[in-house]
This record gives sequence, structure tokens and C-alpha cells, in this order.
Amino acid sequence: MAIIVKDLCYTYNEKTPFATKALKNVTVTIDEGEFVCVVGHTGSGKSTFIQHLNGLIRLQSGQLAVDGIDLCVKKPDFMALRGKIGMVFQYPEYQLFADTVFEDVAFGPRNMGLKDAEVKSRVFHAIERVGLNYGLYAEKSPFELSGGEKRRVAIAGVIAMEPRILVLDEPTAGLDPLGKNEILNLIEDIRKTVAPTVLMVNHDMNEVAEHATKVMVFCDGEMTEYLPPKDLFRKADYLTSIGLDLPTITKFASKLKESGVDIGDCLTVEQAYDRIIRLHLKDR
Amino acid sequence: MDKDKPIISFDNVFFGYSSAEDEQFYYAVHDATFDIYEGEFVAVVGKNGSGKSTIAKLMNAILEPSDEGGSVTVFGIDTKKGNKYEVRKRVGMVFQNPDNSMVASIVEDDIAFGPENLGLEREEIVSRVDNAISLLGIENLRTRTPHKLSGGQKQKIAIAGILALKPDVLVLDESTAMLDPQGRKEVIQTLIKLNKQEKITIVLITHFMEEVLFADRVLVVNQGSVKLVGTPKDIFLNCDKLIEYGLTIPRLIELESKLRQSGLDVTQGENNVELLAKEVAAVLSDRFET
Ligand SMILES: Nc1ncnc2c1ncn2[C@@H]1O[C@H](COP(=O)(O)OP(=O)(O)OP(=O)(O)O)[C@@H](O)[C@H]1O
Ligand SMILES: Nc1ncnc2c1ncn2[C@@H]1O[C@H](COP(=O)(O)OP(=O)(O)OP(=O)(O)O)[C@@H](O)[C@H]1O
Ligand SMILES: [Mg+2]
Ligand SMILES: [Mg+2]
Repeated sequence: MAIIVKDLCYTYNEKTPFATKALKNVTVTIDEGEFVCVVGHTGSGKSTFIQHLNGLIRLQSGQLAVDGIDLCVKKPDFMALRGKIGMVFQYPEYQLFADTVFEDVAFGPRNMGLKDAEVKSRVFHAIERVGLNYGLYAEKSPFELSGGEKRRVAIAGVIAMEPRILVLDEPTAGLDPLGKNEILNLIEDIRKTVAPTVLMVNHDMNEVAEHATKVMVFCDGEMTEYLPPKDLFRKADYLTSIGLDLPTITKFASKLKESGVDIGDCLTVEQAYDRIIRLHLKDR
Repeated sequence: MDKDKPIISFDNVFFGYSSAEDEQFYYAVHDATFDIYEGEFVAVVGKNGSGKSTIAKLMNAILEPSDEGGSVTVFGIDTKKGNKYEVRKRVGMVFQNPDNSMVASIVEDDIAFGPENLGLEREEIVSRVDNAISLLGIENLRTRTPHKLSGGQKQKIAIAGILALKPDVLVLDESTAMLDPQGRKEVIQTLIKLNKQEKITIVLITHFMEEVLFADRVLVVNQGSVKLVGTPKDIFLNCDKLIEYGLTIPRLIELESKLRQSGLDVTQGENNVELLAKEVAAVLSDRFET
């Protein structure tokens, strides 16, 4: 089990007039190998939740264990935790700071106390893994890169630490459509090679439908659902009532059903296409 | 939209951020030519770094074309030679991150900030603020603190602040990028209302191909110039070009074109869930009957 959460509660500005309950009794078990998309309206608690996972927010009440590391004890092993969980924040390109791409990516592995040769090898592999050519990019200044390239460098810095769990807060926001696809494909690739478990905060239900194995829904600080996307998207009325949308293809499939043709639960263009064509050929 | 009345015209515009002597010099806007007409809703799309924000800044005279770099004319004013102040009054701009533009500690003061700076009479300011607040339907936020609002609420306040300046054109640079689906829908609905009811010309820069469908016309920007212009339908029928320019097509249109290629008779370029469902159902049930 990658992550175990029980009755997690969190209040900002506790015991002041400005207290905000941001998490209410969140309970969930996330298995290794899941690609979890975290969705919910603005202010629903998504960022507060994921910042608990790498100890950025200290536990107030409830239980939390990440890949065997217990965070309820008095002195949690934060060093070990940060080696296991890689965190990519929103607009991570704003956090690039070094003179060269190499130095930026090397920062994490160096901090882990690795030997120079090991650092160098990890940086090389991380840069290549995110689809940048090491020879071309290692010595460039991160500030001369395009938005999409900067984001790749930021992700390389995180995977160079070889985390088992990768957590990303809206990794595709502000990218152009192809840039979005590239980053999502990259995350799929990282999942197959470095970090089998991924959590991604995302507002785009089309992307959620195409990539998630499980969807975690937050509403007003509560985690209301944790289930596979095809089950979630059957609850159209519920999703609309909490300000979330359905994927385009799911909407299409349900309209088609109203018109008398049932192609089942569909999440992607390919699924819808295959099923329609199958019916089309069968009728003939 | 009145095709005889271009209110913003770019004529062979060039713009570079560094000086031409610089070794790394290049034009961020490279020979851009296009018109924006009175009362239309225009969407601007293009990949990262293609020049959209630079073009937006040229529209309201924050930037001006390079020497010998063509001209931008806004309501008859050449932005290089004419009154920039007048241009900015008529073309209002909402930037990507509203946090940076919030100045006051309560919402209504924030919205009043612009009109106050225009040196208007107190009564006029109050009436403009009231009007902007009611157009956006944010009466409930009047006395709240801007910093403690959600992203979608902040975005509406930023739009209200610009509206209170009574611009003829509203330019929005990726103003929905950080919103949740509901917030995005609300902002888009507001823009449609401003366009239809208040006759404000809208220029919407966006990375969401789905938002493009609300526009009368779409400008596709690549390498600093406008490469394609047309209705959303025209644009989406040009899949190959869109992909060449680093864009994608909406999922439904992808499905439409795959189905067509397999011989199903469905209309192309519509991106309409209900229409496509009806057409597919019709094709399949025809087969049942024959
Ligand atoms: N530093 C803070 N101090 C006080 N309240 C906070 C702070 N950060 C977040 N909150 C509040 O906690 C609640 C949950 O916020 P959180 O950032 O977790 O939401 P989110 O789901 O990530 O939203 P978004 O989609 O806008 O990023 C909100 O009501 C928010 O206003
Ligand atoms: N202040 C600046 N100084 C130097 N170069 C700049 C500056 N702003 C933008 N550029 C460069 O000008 C080009 C066009 O940038 P612009 O910001 O107009 O693109 P964009 O289409 O808005 O991109 P995005 O979708 O990422 O917002 C890019 O190559 C960019 O790196
Ligand atoms: Mg957040
Ligand atoms: Mg831009």
C-alpha cells in the first residue's frame, strides 16, 4: 500500500477567528501503481491534502503513512519521506533558480548526499527522461527556455531523486494543447519506469478520463469519492451539483443513449469510435 | 460584427523585445496583419511563445511596433504617434494573474480604483462601480477582501475593474487558465453577456480549444504572425494546419472526422454533442430498418 490516510483533519489558523476547516475526516487507502487524479472545486482542499504527503503541512489530527513511513509519530523521518515522494508544485518553473539546467536538476540528488558520479548519472537520465537532449540543454540557463521546457526541467529535478510516488499540482495549467499532451505522456512514461504511483491535481475532466485509474473527489474539505473514472462519470448529477464537469466523450455517449443507441461507458475518443464502428458493421 | 468597421488594425507589424544589434535578436511579432471588427467576439490561439501576449500588449499601446515595423491603428489612432492614453481607455486588458492587479482591501474600492484614476466625479464613479458589479453578478462580494476570494471570484473582480473604465474592447490574456470548470464557465458566460448585451468587443486569448467555439472568429498565431483566420468551424476543419502550429482539435471533432473517414455520414466541424449523437443514432437506426 502506497499511502494510508485515516480521519485526516486540518484547520488553517486554528484557534483564531479566521480558522478555516480545510480537511474534514479524509480516509483513503491508495495502492501502489494507481494513477490518481485529484479533482474538486476551487478551495475544496486538494492542495492542502497533497501537501500533507511530503510533510510540508504537519499533521494536526488523524493518521497518515506514506510507503511505510508513519507520519503520526513524534519525529517522523522526513529525510526518508522526501526521498520517496516527489512533489511538483503549481507553476514549478517559477522555482527554477540555478545558472544551468544541470545544476538545477542536480540540487535534489546532491541534497540527498549522493556521490558526484551518481548525481551526474541521475541528472543525465532525468533530463533525457523528460525528453530533453542532455548535450543541448545541460549547460543552458533555465531562464532562456520556453514555458513547456522549463516545466520539463522542473519535473526532471524531481525524478532525479527517484521517488516511488510522484505528486503533481496542476502540471498542465497554462501549457498549450500539445504541451499538455507531452507532459501527460511524460507522466505516463515516468509511471512505467521510475514512480509507479502518481497523484495529479487536475481540473480538466477530459484529461482525467484519459489517464486516471482512480479519481479522488474533494468537496468543501471532504473527500467524497475515490473510485475508477468510469464509475465516477456515471454520477453526472452529483458531479454537476458540486461544480464539476463531465468529459466530452462521456456526455456524448449519454446523449447517444437518449437517442436509443447504447455504447456503454466511454471515456476516450478511441473507445467511442470503436464501439460505434462495431455497431455499424454488425448492422450491415 | 460590422465588417466595414475595423476598430483595431495591424498592418505588417514587427516587434522585438531586445535591440536589433543583440546577437540573439528575433521578432516576437513577425509581420502580423489582421483586423478586429466592432462588436465581434474573437478568440486568439497559438502555442506557448507564439506571440499572443505580445500582440495583446500591442493592441492597447503598452507596446508599440519597432521602427519601420508597420503600424497598429486603434479607433483611428496610430499607437506610435497618437494618444496612448486614449487607446488604453478604449481597449481594456485583463491579465493572466489577477492577484497582481488587486490593489485595495475591499472589493468595491478595488473596482473603483481605475475610474478614480480617470479623475471622474464621485457620482459617476459610484454609478460605474454599481453597474460593473451588477453586470458580473457579484453583489455578494462587494465588501469582501479580494485576496481571500477564490480564483474565479478574483477573476470576475479583475474584469469588473476594467469594465468600470467603460472600454469598447476587452482583451483577456488567458484569464481562465487557473479556474476550475465552474469558474471557467461563469467567466465565459459573463463575456458572452458583455458581448451580446453591452456590445463590447471581446478578444479572448486561450489555450482551451473548447472555449474557441464561443467566438465569431478565431485567429491562429504562430511564430509571431496570424497564420489562419476564420470561424471556429473553418479552423477546426483545418486539422493538419492546427497540428502543425502546435494546437489540437477538440475531442468531439476528432471523433466526427474519424467516423466520417469510416464512411458514416455525420456533419464535420460542429463540435456539438447533441447533433453528433442524433446523427450517429440516425445512421445506426437506418441500418436496422433496411
Ligand atoms: N495559507 C492559508 N491560510 C488560510 N487558509 C487557507 C490557506 N491555504 C488555503 N486556505 C483555505 O483552505 C481551503 C482549502 O484550500 P486549498 O488550497 O487546499 O484548495 P484547493 O482545492 O487546492 O483549491 P484550488 O483549486 O483553488 O487550488 C480554502 O478555503 C482556502 O481558502
Ligand atoms: N519581456 C520579454 N523579454 C524578452 N523576450 C520576451 C519577453 N516576453 C516575451 N518574450 C519572448 O517573445 C516571444 C513571444 O512571447 P509571448 O509572451 O508573446 O508568447 P505567448 O504566445 O503569449 O506565449 P504563452 O502561451 O506561453 O503565454 C517568446 O519567444 C518569448 O520568449
Ligand atoms: Mg490548489
Ligand atoms: Mg502569453
